[in-house]
Amino acid sequence: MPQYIIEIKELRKYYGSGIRGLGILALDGIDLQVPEGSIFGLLGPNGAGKSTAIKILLGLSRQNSGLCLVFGKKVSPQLRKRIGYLPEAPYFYKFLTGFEMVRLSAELCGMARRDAASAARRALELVGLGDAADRRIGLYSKGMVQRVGLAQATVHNPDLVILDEPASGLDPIGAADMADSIRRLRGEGKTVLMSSHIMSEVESLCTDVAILSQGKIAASGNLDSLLERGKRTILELDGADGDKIKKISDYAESMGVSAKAAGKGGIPLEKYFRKVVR
Amino acid sequence: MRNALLIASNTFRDAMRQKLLLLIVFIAAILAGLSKYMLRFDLGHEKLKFVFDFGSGAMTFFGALIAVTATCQLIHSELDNRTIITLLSKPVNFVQLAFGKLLGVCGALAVFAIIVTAVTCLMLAITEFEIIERAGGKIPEGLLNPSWSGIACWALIQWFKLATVASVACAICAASSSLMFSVITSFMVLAATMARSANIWFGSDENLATQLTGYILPNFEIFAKSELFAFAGVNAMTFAATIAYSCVYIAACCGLASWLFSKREF
Repeated sequence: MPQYIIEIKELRKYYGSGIRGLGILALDGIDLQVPEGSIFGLLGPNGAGKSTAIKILLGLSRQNSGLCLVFGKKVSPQLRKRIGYLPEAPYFYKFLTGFEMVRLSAELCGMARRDAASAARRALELVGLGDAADRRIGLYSKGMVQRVGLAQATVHNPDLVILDEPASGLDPIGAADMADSIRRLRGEGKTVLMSSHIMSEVESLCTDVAILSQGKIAASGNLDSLLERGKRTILELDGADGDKIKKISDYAESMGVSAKAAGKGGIPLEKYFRKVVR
Repeated sequence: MRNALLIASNTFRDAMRQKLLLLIVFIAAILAGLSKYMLRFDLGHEKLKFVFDFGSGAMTFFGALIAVTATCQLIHSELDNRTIITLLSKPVNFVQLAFGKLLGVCGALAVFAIIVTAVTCLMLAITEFEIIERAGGKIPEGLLNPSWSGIACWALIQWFKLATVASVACAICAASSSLMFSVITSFMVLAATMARSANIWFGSDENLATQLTGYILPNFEIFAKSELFAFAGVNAMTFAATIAYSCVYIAACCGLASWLFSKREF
């Protein structure tokens, strides 16, 4: 039986609006379980409630009802020592250097100053900012700010890393580097919860997903089973023209294997996403 | 406590970069430095008392200006720039946040108080030296003798007074969502406090309104007593009572700010 790092039960959140207090229902009784060691993708269109769910998980916002457990406990400042968080469009103190910002984060998480300094250097090296560590954040590009964000979220070696739109605004190289960093985090045994709009990113990275739509979970589970990946296999062929493909297809049929059209295996996530959200 | 100090040192660093704050410190120092040259406008006060009152005025007026604007600016920049989300996603609670921000502002106020006090002391020393020199090296009869330790204690109490004003602004910022609202409300509180002091100064009887403001808003009359220290020396009882009053008031405002922060959505 899998161990769950995050367990959300019947979570409801209203945002008050106007003097009559008519609320906007941001989360409508969602249930969610994030298995230990997974890369869990939280998907959904704008306003679906992804960031609200993340903020409730971190204790930055309060739910109206429902239960939200992280490591089996209600979130508290002490519990946040085990969590790293990269906010959506992160803003950091522009007058600090990247190194000072990451060291500050490490110190706030309880590390001694000397340990925090060495951990900050290491974290910045890992995200590829070793050379720019002593430059002021105000002079960083958006991609560099995002990298500092990842460094400050992971500098204290947390068990759970929450990334809100980690590749938002990054160029393809930056996005690929971010994806590598996320895979590395999983390789280190950490659980990653990430929200994203970028389907290809989620498809290539995540082991599990939940799709939020209008404050409800439209679908959730293991990505392979949701996309029926296990049933199909992709065979990549180089230099096969129509005639050869026909022969290969016939051979496959003779082997008792049904050859489908060439292309990606399973249902593309983007197509699946549109199907469940609409 | 460690996290509060980390937030405070960061806030102090941010404060020292605020151009408006540095400009106010500069103007206050210049004004305190000009006190000796304003003696011609003196209407019969003892010269050294006049110089000290000038420095005291600069400390009160510009100090209050810095206490309100710096506190509101530093807290609202944290809220508006969403750096507060990065802070609160760490093991930081609301008490540490409010206390850290306030402590950082108090650091900036300490720099201001030290500069104004140093300039005031310098002006007092120069004026005293000139008076004695003009009297042929003898101390003229009736010349007030500045108590340097008394002035140091007065400066410390003034710093506590400014910290008290900053703590009120901090509590207002914790409840408000706009910088403008926080600044205006803080100045209104300050005006109400000063109106009460002026009411007492002009000998009016205390009514229910002034009594209430005296209990709820900071009572500047308590801090004003320390001005006597400059020439009469330190009254230990008054000194301790004033600091105790200030600490209790700051702690109450800090607690209120923490509670209000905890009720916010980030």
